[in-house]
Amino acid sequence: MEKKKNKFLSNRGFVIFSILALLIVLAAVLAPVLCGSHSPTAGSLADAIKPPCAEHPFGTDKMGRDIFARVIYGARTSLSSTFVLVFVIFAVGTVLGVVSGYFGGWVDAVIMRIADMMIAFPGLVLAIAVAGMLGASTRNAVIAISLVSWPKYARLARSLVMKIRHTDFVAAATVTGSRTMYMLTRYMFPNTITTLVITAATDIGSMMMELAALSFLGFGAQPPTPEWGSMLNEGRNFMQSAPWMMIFPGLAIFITVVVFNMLGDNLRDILDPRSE
Amino acid sequence: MGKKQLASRLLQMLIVLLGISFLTFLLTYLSPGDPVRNMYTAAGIMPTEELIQATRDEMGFNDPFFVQYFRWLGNCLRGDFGKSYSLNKPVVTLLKARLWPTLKLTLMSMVLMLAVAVPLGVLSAVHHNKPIDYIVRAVTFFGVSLPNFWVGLLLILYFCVRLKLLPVVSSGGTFKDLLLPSVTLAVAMSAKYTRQVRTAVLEELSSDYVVGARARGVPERKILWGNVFPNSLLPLITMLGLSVGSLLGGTSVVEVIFSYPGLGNLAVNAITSADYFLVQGYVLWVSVIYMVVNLLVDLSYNYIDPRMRLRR
Amino acid sequence: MALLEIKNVDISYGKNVTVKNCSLTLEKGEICSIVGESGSGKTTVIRAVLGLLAGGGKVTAGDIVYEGRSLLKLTDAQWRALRGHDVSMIFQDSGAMMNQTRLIGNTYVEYIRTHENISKKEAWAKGVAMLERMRLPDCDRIMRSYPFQLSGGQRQRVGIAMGMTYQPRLLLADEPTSALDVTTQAQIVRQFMDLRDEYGTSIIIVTHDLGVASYMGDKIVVMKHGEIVDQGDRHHMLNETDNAYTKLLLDAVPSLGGKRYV
Repeated sequence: MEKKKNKFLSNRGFVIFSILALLIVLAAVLAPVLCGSHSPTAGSLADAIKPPCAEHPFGTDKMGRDIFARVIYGARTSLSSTFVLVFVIFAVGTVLGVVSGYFGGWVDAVIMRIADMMIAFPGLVLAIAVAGMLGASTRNAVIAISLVSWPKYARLARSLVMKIRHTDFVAAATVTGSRTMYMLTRYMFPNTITTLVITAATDIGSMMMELAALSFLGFGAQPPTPEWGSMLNEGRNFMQSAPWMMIFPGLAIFITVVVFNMLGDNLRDILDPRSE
Repeated sequence: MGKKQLASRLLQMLIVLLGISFLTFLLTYLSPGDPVRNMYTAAGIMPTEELIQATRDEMGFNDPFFVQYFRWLGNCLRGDFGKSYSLNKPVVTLLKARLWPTLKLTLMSMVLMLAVAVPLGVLSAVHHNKPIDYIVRAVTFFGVSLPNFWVGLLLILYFCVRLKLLPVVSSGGTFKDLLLPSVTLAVAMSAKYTRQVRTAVLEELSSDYVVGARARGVPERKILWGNVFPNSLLPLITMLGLSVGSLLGGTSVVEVIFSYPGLGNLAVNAITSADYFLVQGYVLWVSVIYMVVNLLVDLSYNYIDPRMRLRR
Repeated sequence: MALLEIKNVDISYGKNVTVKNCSLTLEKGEICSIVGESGSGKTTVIRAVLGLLAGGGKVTAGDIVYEGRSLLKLTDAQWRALRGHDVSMIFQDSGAMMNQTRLIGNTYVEYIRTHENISKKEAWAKGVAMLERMRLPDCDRIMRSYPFQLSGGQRQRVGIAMGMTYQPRLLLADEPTSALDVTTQAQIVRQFMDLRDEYGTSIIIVTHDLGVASYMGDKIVVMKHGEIVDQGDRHHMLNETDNAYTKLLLDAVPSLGGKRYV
């Protein structure tokens, strides 16, 4: 255990970006503290479309709401939905993949054909279709993107399981009477965990952008909930008069994605030295 | 790829297409909103409940699910994808009209992407771990983290609003109209593809035959362009095929931003207006395009690599 | 003047010194065998001679002198003239050292045209002629084949043919027979010996098989963990040496009817 801790802490990049990521999460959690009196959803039209100033560091939007507050509160929406999304994809994909790889036969065939269907379609398009059909909301956006993204994890998990499926030690365990559940939890899942966690960590950034894209198109978070993607959409119409409306939310997405991408990359360097 | 393999692959594609068609139909069937009501509202009429029910009967919306599904499927096979309510035209016509602009956009983006990604990727791989490599890696890292809709908006802000160089709204006709949308798409895609080129070339560079060629005194440039690069093309073409998928998806967002008259824009509007037939038609068409592209990529791969051709 | 002198050479990968204080002298027409197990550094040494150390490897001490010239100070152009012409290398799997997606003939032509300014047709003919001189059957078919279409033994013989195209004064062989079955191994070994007899080529052969090493080598060097632990001629290796490791290697050679040669 001692050696493991050192591996994580000795990687400077990992430490730096973990701290940055933590700061971002903290900013979201401590939003009320950071924004003080400014509310992300209430604003008076008298304050509408004010450029950045002391009172409103990021300016205000068309409804007079403080954009700084909306960006910080927006972190809550973006971060929470992204984490849920990544977790769901990870969980569903891994379970289906392990089951598919372990049991083989028609279970494998069915799961893989469904996965093929999802992959046979450009992800964002299907996600738009699903989200559009189910009705626009953050929850449905998460469902939509999960639906098109789980195959990647399932395939990965499946191939990892299949690598050890027919090895001798697995056969030995079966012969000595290990029950299926035991086999799955004790042998199959642990073999897949590391690779899949790395994949999930490096996917956080891109999943966040997909969610933002859906919201941007109007299929995700609904107003007045502050969400970076939908804020960009609102800013679209005011580009000439109030460019700050779209610069800051976009910047927020960019910075957050950069931090989490770096975190994921560093995590991969630590856990999987084979990666160049 | 042998004939048998090709046949089984085509069969697979058919099954997947059927599955997708079923899934989309199921989705639209289950979703809230009434196409008939929407149709009337779009025409400016405020219908009574009886009128709605009567129209529903007439158009077959009250029939059981599978009847509706097979009816629709049968029509599709005959080339009739139904009629769009929101735009009051046959779906086929609408899709056909928008297909070429989207393809143009996709192609242009791909060309831009290749023009940037290939040289940078090769450069980065050949000068592995030297300053230029680090620069390219840093740039691509940021490029991959940029949301493409933000890039599009920023480009509009600078080139259209501030500098007034290019039109904001594209009619899909001229080169000027294509430029900003394709640059927007190309930015994120180049970043990703550059990394892939770099990885592929790096892997080839560490092959045994490179050492062998060096041992025979063959000059580095000949090794790189005569051997390493052609061999890297094989995985790169596959990756290119996959990026077509991302491109097709990415066009949705970009087309909306630039009001570009393509398939993606059409789809988003169709979904917002709950224009079911249009959405279903769109999903089917894009699936087919995507699968055909991937099939072509796989076929070409099998043809280019002599190991696949001869090791039968 | 000796043909090749490796003088007190250290080879490092980053901070890791993998070969320490290696010294070896080779005269014209001599065959030297370097023996050792995997990881002993024997391949590293031989690759260092041609400047082919993989990823980050460098000679950090000592010198390698070929015909009076230090090989550590050569320019790229000088290397291109030397490699494949004055000094050639033969690898464990010659097939893998060729581009798998190209015909052997095209790889050969590319090689020949690096050293001579002749047309593709002439280069092709020269390639066929060389394969014939190495007594390979059906040379035209071989030129028109891909590496994976030949057997291991054929690939090695093609590799030797290519290596001998310009009658190099020094031939470096990195485990040339390790991937072959015993019969083919014997053929290849004999071919090497003939090269020395016919062309006067000096050879350094790296192998893990002390039997092959003793049979071929006028001089035998034993390496372990990056250092030379024993050297001498055949007689010394088999009869005189006290070195425990050498004796261990000797025991590993399968003996047939009491005799220990290949």
